[in-house]
Amino acid sequence: MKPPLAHRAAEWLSSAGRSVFRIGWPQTDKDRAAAMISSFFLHIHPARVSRHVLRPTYTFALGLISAILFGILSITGLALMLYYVPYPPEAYRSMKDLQFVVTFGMVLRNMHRWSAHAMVVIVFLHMCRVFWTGSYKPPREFNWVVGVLLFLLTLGLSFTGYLLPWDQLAFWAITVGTNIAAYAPVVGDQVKFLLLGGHMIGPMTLLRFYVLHCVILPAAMLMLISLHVWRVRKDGLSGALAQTGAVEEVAGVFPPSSKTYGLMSLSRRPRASVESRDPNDEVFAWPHLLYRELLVALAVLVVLHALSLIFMAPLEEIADPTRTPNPAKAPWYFLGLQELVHYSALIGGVIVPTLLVVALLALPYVDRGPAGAGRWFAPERRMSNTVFTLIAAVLVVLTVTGTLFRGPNWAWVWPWR
Amino acid sequence: MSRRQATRAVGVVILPLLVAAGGCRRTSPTPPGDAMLDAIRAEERVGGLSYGAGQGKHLFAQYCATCHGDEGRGDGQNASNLNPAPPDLTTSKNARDAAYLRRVITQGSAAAGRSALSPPWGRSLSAQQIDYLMAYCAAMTQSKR
Amino acid sequence: MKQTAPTSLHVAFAALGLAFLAIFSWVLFHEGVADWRTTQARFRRIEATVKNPHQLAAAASVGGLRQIWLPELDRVDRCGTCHLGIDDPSFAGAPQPFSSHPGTWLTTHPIDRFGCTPCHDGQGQATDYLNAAHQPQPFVTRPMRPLETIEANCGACHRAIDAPDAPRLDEGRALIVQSGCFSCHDIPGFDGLTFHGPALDSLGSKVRPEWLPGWLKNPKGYLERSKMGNFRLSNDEITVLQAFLLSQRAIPPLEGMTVDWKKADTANGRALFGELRCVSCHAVNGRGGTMGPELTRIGDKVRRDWLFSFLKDPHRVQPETAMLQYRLTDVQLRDLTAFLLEEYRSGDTGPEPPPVTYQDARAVMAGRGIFERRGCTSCHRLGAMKNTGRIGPSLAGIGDRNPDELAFGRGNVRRTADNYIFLKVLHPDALLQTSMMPTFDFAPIEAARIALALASIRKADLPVSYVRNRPMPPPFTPAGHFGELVTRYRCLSCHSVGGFGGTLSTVPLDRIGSQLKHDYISKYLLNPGAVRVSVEARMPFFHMLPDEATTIADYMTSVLLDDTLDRYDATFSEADVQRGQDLYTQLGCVGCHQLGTVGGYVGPVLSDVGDRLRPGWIAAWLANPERYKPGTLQPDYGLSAADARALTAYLSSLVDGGRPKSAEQGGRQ
Repeated sequence: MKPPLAHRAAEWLSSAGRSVFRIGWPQTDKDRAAAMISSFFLHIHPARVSRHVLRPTYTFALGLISAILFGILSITGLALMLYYVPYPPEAYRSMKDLQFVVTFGMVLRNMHRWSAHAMVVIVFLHMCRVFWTGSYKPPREFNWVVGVLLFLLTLGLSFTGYLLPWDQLAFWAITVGTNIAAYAPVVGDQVKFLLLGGHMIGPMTLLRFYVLHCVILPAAMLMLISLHVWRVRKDGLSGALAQTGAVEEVAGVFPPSSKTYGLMSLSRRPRASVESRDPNDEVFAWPHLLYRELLVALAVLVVLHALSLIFMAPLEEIADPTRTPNPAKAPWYFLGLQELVHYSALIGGVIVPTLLVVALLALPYVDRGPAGAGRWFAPERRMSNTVFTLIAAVLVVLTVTGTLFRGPNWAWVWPWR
Repeated sequence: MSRRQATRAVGVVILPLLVAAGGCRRTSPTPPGDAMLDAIRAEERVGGLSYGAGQGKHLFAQYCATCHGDEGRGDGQNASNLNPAPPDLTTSKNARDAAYLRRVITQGSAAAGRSALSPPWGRSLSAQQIDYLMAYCAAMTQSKR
Repeated sequence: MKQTAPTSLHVAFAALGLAFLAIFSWVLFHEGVADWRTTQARFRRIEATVKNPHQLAAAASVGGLRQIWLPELDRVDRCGTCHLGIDDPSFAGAPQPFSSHPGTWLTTHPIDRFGCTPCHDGQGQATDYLNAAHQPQPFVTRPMRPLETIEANCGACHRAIDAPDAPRLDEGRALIVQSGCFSCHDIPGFDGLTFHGPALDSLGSKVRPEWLPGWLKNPKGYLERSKMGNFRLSNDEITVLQAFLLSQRAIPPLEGMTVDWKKADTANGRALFGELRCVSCHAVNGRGGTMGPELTRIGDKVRRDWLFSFLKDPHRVQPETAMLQYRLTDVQLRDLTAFLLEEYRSGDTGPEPPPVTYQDARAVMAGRGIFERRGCTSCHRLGAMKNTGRIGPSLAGIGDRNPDELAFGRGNVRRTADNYIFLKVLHPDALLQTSMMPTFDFAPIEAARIALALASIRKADLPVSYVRNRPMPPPFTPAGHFGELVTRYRCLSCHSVGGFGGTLSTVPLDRIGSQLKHDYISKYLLNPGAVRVSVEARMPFFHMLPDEATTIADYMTSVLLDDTLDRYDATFSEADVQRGQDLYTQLGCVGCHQLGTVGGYVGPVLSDVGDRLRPGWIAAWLANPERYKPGTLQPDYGLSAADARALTAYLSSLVDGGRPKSAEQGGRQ
């Protein structure tokens, strides 16, 4: 007797499914491990992870959130590109169309805007977390450098995106921002000219920023993110109790996955792998890690949707080069810089930011001692933590000052007045 | 995830929202006035006329008031020279009949079977102006009702 | 170690999942109940009550977003998405936003060519009430104008000085012309217009010295309708300015003047004052014309000798004055002067002080400095002093000025260009203490009218096809004897030719030779009587010489002609006259025109109209009065050619006090 039709259909579907997902919905630990390893998307995680990785208070999932935000930005950004004309004044008009006519246009734009701002914050916090837990210590020095570059790229993406609405806010924020760039000695004016495609913001600038924002920077970002995550995967997650020396491979309840460990054995062993190798302290990434990641993603989506419904992305009058607002402010994440520029153009606009970036890049090669890695505010690192926290706090204070406490002519105002 | 952690996570989400919401609320002071508009309204809203009726009032003064009087009471300067005398528009029943009124204004009183003393304005005034005049006449009869 | 997920995660997943579903359906819902969707649903319900099923079926396809694209004006107006009945008269009484557009504005301004925002302002791209900026909104530069100021947008296209369907704008522009704002400001649309205050060359011999400081301090204190503003001068400034002005005696009083003032007969002066029709241009005690200065307190101001010589030849002292030169004898002039100075003063002004001679050259120079700095030369001619040009800033594009750049002072006023212009016109020093602009003491409504007219001067250039312009009329400067007479009697102060000239008279002279008969013109010039009894401003009694009157009549009947009127065949039959007489009764002409002793006095007396008007003109006038005199009280009866001819025949026959003469005599002269 032939099997029933439904059964055959299910069979057919399942075989089709198996051509895509080699392993079906994993039922056994073996399958779970295999699912993680055989999937292109999932194999960025190891099959088993240390339990401490699941503790939200260790990483606060900041890296994950950054990645999710990048995903959201890519998707909403692609949708927005369908309606955007990178030429003034059509650019501004397409913003109005998004707001008033395009179905879901306003939500898309709001979400793109708030995700971009959130990403700057989250990436910054992520960097702070990495510092405070000493996670840039060998062997992760280079990944810290990649992280710093990613932070700069995030700022660049946000900055180039800022001009695209072509309203007063955009126009003057970019004017101020690019003027800060012009303070750089020798090359400042050339850099500004290169950025603007001229001496003033105009149609060429808009096109340049559009291409940077939609093609060049996202491509660079994607490559660096891949590198960043790959390094995390190879170096392992930091953060278990520090163990001295390499830990032996232990055959656990599952067969050691040949591939990953094979590669690992080819590579130089981490000098101070802080990942626990105690199989009793490990759980399967499927479902423990994935489940939590799913929850984080959901939470991010909920928050962003809510933000996008409650707060409208600003859109002021169309850009008018003859109407300078007072005060003209850079995008908020550069307002700390602008505040510094207010005191001294050379120091604030050039020396301090250059020193900061150089210091960040050089940090893991200077501070090489393994002490205190993998723990929040390790007492051994009190000195460096204090210095870093102070600098970060000053930056935050400057930014808040520039954002909220500065009025016309950059005079001090109380925001609640 | 312990309850404490969950609470903390919720706090992390809610707190910035609250801060943001608080930052966006502004106490609104007394809204600024529109000096020019107020000046025009102070002048033009005398008598509570609508814009159209106000325009009609000007037209009435120019074209009609010599006979019908500034207030439409039939007491214009030229009224004493007329036989029959112009009616008091504020009480006239006919003046409240919009179709009748329009006919008299555009085609003259002769078209309504009255004396020929009230001339036709349909060719001299634009349709817009006649609408204004009608509006003023309506306001005139209403205010005196 | 358990290898399955803990329950708390499931709970969190359920909660977050639900939250996500909720918020996502909120997003969907939000889009589904967009302002315009619900509005359109409401419209369908109203439409069903207004239209019959056939019309409904035809209208069924209309829905969704509706927009008007105006490529030339660079706008997209989506107002029609909600204002669905705007161009459909059947929604005349429907509630907003569905009501059809009032008036006939959409006939004169088709909606697919003009859209909505060019007239109304607001954000045309928006599809909801708030963002369309029906009320002022942040970041919307031009929110919708209330009806009270909407005429400022008429002026953007209608650049001719008069815009008939925009009375407020008209009023504002008239005020600008009267007040001479363009003397100090460059105002687009008012180019070529000139404004003259009196020349000051002989001020030292013109005015009594004690009068000047009060005038400089506050011109309105002497002359309520003074066109000169209050320059808010300090007492020191007034002292030196006075020294400078009173030392101006470039033009001496007429020489060889032998007037025996003791014999002056003020009663004769009073009679002359009435006869000359001075009040057509000058007001006394609040009544009279506004072209010349009010004379109510002239005795406080001017010197006797100066007034005498001015009345004798106004143009010698004031070449730009609108005042005509009467042909009066010295005795008449003496009596008139004596009457004016005695009758019109605030009290016994005492004997005339002798002219002051200023020795303090420093004070005179300081006064000259102030004179130049405050731009007095913009309005007043003074000997060799050059007109320094327009001292005030250009008002080009003032309607689009960025409010952020304007000093608003401390008042709690919405920052708009409108309000700024208004406040500035009203009290220039309230906005800027150091403002050079004088205070003109406009009433708030006058300031608002002027502000409205100025707000219509926009920065952006509209496409030519939208602009309704009117070029400045070319000047009319006839030569020869007639030209001299036109200059002497200042015909163009009141009358216009080809649009050039004054507007006090309702009779332009373009075709006057085809309107009036030769004999009537010369007779009328010698002794102008009232044509329309009810009109107060009348032609002055020039005391013209007979051959001067003939010269003018000759010129008019040979040059100022309209051939189309002259070609009229003026041989009428007796039947025409009879029919015309019947028509005269039928049409109710008697309501406004006097014939003999019967009739109203709204229009001209017709008793001897046959002596006065040429038949071609009568016929043309009756056929289309609006063409010749927009806004006239003569109604357009829509007469047929035969009826017009009959009426013309009848009117032409009325000569000599209303007695019809025979048709044969009524022919062309």
